[in-house]
Amino acid sequence: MTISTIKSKAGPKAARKIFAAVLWLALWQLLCTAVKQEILVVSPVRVFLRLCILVQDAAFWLTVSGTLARVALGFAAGAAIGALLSALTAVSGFLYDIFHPIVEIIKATPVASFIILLLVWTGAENVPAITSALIVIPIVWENVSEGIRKTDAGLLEMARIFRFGRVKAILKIYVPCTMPYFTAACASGLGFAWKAGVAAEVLANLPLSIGGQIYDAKIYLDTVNLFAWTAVVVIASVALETALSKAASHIRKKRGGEGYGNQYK
Amino acid sequence: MGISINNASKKFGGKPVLDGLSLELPQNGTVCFFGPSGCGKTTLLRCIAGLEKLDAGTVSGVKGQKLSFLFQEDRLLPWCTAQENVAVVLACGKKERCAKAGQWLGAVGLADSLALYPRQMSGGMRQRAAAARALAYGGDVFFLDEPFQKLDGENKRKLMELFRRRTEGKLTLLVTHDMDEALRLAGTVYVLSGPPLRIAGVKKVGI
Repeated sequence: MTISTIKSKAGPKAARKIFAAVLWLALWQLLCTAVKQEILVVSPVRVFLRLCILVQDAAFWLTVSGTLARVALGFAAGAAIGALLSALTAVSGFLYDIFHPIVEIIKATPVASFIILLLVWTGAENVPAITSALIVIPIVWENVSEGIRKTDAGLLEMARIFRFGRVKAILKIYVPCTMPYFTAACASGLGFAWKAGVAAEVLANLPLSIGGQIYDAKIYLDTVNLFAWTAVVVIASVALETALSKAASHIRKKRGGEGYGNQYK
Repeated sequence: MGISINNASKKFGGKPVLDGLSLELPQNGTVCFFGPSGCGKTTLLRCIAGLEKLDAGTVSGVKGQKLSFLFQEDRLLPWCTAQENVAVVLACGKKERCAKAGQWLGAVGLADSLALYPRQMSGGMRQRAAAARALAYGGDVFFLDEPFQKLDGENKRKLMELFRRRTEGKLTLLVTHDMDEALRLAGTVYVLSGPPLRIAGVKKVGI
């Protein structure tokens, strides 16, 4: 395929994306014009202008970085615990029977119940990180467990013949085989971690947090701020997911690109 | 003492592939299992290597031996280069591992492909890299499961010669449906039929 062909294909794709964004912004503006009440629906222009004002304030960046740090901490802890649990439950049926009901309960429990219980049990500043972690654990656990189950049986036989030993088999076979499942779980878990973390901040009414700002916007019926801070959550979530997926793809390319998965079943 | 297979039975989905097979294998030399596709040759090899559990019967004389296996598929780690794929089976220092891997890959004609990943190599190149891995690992018993089927004439001859030299004084079990391969490499050829696997004839080849 020539470079000019690639360019001509990339062109319409970018144009389609821009068209979709403009279409939805226009629909938003139309809705705003039809409703005619800013307390219910704010125009995208007003939201954009408010964002321009917010970003000039140092407190904005402190607020965003505070939320980012809490969610990132919870996400990282959740991903690590989920991966560790999946490894333990893959090795031992007994451990699976012990942890499986707990993970199922975490999955089924409403996020609001967690947040309120955690507010009772622990300090408000810990709630967003713990909530984010609890949301991520089952997602990572299920995906990585699936990855372990689908680890290439042919490669495991090869490892057995050439006497890899447990550590080498884990590092050279299990980890690379489960990595695509882990990164997929992280990509979807990150979005959920953001939503749950911000929800926890709202209920905990934390100072210097996006959730706290959303809570204030609700109390003072400041719909412009509510929309603006919601936009910040969306933008940050998309940026983080993109960064994560770029990092995963970089690692994959560095380690031989495609070819992950069960080829020799 | 060589390897003894006593009354070995193995079923897949209720269908017997091995049915009370008994066989004595020597301590060294090349033994070839020759027969049509699907007769159970690979299953026999896998049972001897301990990769398949027998439903009944025993295989003795394998425990404690260092086994090297060249599978029908290359079974290379997709996330490792050719050199890493060979080096990974060696138990020595990193520098020595890489040097040895390079030497063996050079011996199979892949000196220029050390840094290639399996997806960047052709089927024949991958099979040669897998052969380099089995050769580099060494062992007391070599299991070769249709090892040369993806190779062209010259590479096939080169690899046969490498295996012949490397396996001298050791036991090699070769599975093939190519009589030319069998006669070139083996001291004893078991002509098989099945399933269930039966020994239809034994041919001693003078070298």
